[in-house]
Amino acid sequence: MDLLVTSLQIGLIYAIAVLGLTIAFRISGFPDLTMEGSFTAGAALSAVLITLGANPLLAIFISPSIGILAGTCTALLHVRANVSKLLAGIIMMTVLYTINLRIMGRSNLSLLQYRTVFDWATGDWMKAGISALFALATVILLTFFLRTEFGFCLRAAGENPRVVTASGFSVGMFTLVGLAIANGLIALSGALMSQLQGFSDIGMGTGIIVIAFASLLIGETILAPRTVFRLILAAVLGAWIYNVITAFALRLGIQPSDLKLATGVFLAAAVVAKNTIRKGKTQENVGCTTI
Amino acid sequence: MITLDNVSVIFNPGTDREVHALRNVSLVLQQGQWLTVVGPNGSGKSTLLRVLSGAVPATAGTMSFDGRDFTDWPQWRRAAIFQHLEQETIINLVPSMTIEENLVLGLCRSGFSSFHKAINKERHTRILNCLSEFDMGLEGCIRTQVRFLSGGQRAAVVVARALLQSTKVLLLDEVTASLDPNTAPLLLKHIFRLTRKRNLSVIMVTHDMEEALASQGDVLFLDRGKPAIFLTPDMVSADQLRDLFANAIVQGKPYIMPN
Repeated sequence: MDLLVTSLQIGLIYAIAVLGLTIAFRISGFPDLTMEGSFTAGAALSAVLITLGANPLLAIFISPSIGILAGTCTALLHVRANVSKLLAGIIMMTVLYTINLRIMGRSNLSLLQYRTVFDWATGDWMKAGISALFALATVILLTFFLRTEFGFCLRAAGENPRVVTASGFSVGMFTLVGLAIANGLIALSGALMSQLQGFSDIGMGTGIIVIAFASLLIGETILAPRTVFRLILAAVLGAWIYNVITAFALRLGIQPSDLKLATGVFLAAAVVAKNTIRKGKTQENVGCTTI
Repeated sequence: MITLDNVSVIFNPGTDREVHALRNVSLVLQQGQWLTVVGPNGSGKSTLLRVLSGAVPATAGTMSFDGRDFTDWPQWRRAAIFQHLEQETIINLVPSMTIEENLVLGLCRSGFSSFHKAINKERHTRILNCLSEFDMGLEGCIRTQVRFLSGGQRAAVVVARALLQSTKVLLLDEVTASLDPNTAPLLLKHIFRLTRKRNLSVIMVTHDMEEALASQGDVLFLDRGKPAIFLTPDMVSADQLRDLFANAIVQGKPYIMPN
């Protein structure tokens, strides 16, 4: 029971990051590495705002702004300056490391003496409820957004930019909005995570892409999403299952420091298995196959 | 009315791989006119379509639509006038989107109205009506991802999107070349009928003499980037077209096209 409630608390916060990754990788067709930086940036901004006396809920609503800004910069590097997608992400990820250190003023910031949104909860289940509330709001907003004309063009721009040009739109704008939303969500996830754990750390974003991508693959394998709504559900479900698996792994005696190695091996195995099973079959899932 | 005035396209200018793909092409295309462009490989047929759609910039000359100069317009802005359909139709579609979703893209608007729901009842009916005109049974499977469609069905979806988008000029670049002998004439027949019904102009590039004749439109013969001969429908015959090709290939020297 313990394991279930913890995996829900953390998993549903990670779900928001996985949704961000889904927007970048699957919808916008942009393998964006900025996220490693924007996760920490969201956490850092939220933590600093709280230590400065801001309302924790307000801190959560403000923190996505730094992710939006980072995503916009990455998109501009690619769209305006013709920097390749990978390099644009690497540049922003590196730049964000320094920015995050500057925001926090040191490499680790504790929030134990301050109130966070999770302190309003009286029990562990209520904490999971708060995580669920944010995840649900994100799912609803994204579902509606992706059903609009703009959302349709966003999807098309990721998968086949020619079609968007032929429909009379400039593709660059959709890349920009896609990355802004993706990194905004990642920063939101980082902010929630720092408040749940009670600290913000410069290294907390390291490996977030591998974690989120592994989660998405789990969700996609289970749901085989052929509609956007199912893709969104796959992201959330995958994030939760991933966290159940890691919680089990920790309980079985894996050292927390070995967890990233385990995740990396797991992701590599999942991709290899998926490619072997899919050999010769037409891909049916919705969205781009960037990686 | 589309007017081309002395349009030239030169690839790799100033290098030893310089290619004059189009040389001082001037032509006028009236609303509702069907122009079939024929010519040997490397004569500039596809470049003519690509310079109109904006995929390739014009090196010299001006182009205008109803008196508005669009020579410097970016490709996306020209989409309101031209829809460029190529042989490999999947490159004009979003593979993981359904037929309906692909068609709705043609109806999307910019600005704040783009935050309205993309598929509504009125659009759904419009899409069904448009698809039923092709008589290919597509209206029964509008929720199918386009990557599962046959070549002919994909081509029909691409044409349907251009029609829904109320484009002014269709640029067809050998759209039937990869289709089987039964589907190709059927699709063309629908394109003839639907474009005439809507009074659209069409520029069609083809290697197929029968298609050139069947279109009953004007025929332009391009030779080494220059319009060589212009034939009105009553002047065109299959023999004459064959002669033109034979002569051009003998006289012309082969081009090396840039990538």
